[in-house]
Amino acid sequence: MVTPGLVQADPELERGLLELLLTDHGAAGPYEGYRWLQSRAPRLRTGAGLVVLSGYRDCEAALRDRALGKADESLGFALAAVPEELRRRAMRRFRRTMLFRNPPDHGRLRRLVSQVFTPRHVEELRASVVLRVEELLDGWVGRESVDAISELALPLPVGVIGDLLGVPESDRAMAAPWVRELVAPLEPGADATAVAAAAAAEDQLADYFTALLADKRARPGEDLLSRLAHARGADVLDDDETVGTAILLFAAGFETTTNLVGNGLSALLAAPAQRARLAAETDPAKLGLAVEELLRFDAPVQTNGRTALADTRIGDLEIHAGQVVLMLLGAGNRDPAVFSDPDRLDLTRREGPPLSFGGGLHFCLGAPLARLEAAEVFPRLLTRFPELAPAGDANWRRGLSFRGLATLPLHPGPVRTQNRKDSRYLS
Amino acid sequence: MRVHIDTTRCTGHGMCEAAAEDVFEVGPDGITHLLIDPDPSQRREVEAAVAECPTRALSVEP
Repeated sequence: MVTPGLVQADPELERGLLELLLTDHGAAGPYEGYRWLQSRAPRLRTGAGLVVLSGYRDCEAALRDRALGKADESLGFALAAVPEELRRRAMRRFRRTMLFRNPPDHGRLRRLVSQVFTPRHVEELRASVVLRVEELLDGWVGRESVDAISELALPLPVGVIGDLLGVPESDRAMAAPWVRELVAPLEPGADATAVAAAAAAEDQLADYFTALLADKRARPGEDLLSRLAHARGADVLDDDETVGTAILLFAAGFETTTNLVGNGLSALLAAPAQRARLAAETDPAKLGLAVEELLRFDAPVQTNGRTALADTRIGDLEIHAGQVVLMLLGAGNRDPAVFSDPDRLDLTRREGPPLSFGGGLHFCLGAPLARLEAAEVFPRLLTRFPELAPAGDANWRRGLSFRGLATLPLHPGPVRTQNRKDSRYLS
Repeated sequence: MRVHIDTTRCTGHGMCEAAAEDVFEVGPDGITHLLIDPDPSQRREVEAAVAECPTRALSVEP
């Protein structure tokens, strides 16, 4: 019997899905492809048994369903032939972190660090985030052109998470390219070369963090890595989990936030009225809404995966134990059943939270920190450089799961001298 | 109003803290704790916290 709304193994749909997952989408993004899939098969089961969800409510239900957990799904989307042994080796430690674990291990690993990322604790970081934003923007003053990615979107979150973890400033730039290689296998189109590079990058990151954690254990500080080193000493987690967690926190702390800043800025530059609204906004609640809309409009993380640990249902869709579910979060974020005129950027929208941080057990640990960084960076940037304008074409990264810019060249233009009304943290 | 925290389920997301900051706080143990016995006037925030908990660790009795 065919489940209503579920389209199984249709060759045309499968070709369309492959194109959506494997094509470089560039500035326009994958949104037209999402709309095509959503209108034809919001619940698609491929011939190979992969369930692909593109509706908001289905994605949300799947994210919260405790029967849908973590197994090998992160390596299961791989549409290119990758030797099994290589897959196992890639992300060997990374896959032992909370990101890929189920209860009770998920909770054991998450509780170790969760307090540091709660809204209350993150609020204490606001002043240092503001300072970093202003310092980076100082570097733009008087310049003909800048790259908003390498001169703001990347160094801001790397600086914030580096401080939080206790990664020495001089090491941060070195570790960043390894992170890019490490997470590449999470792309549906990852091939054997990408997976091999990920395995090598993880080894390098592991060597680095093993040495750093030993140092923290000998000379503990107030930072998160010292906390992890202490927990390792108390046998709360094993060596691979400890190193994997250090890598995860560092990686998740910037790859995504960089793209929130870059994608958001790109969207704002294309929507002058919305940009003007945000530049003038001083109400924290409205700023918060604006950040949610930027998260929705062009999310840094476009996909998420689960494996059915037991039989379950999403609406009328039956999912059997062992089946892999791919959620197209970026498609759910543009679902017309939930968001009116979904392709329009509307910073005052109040139609429900975006799926961009995932949901359920694995809801983004760093969400409060990402929101805070975004809420501080956009208004400060737009107010300080009122004539900010593109300086040539932006260069989008390849891949679907992590959507972001490689470079975003901008003319900063003249500086506005008058201070913002809410310059609370600046004397 | 009695709030129950299932400490085996809580993983300290802090969503409850965001919804009802005067009532919940995630401690150094990585799980949430009650700061106070909530007043009936705080029912709305507490119910929001219960509904938003990603691990369904919270419940409230009338």
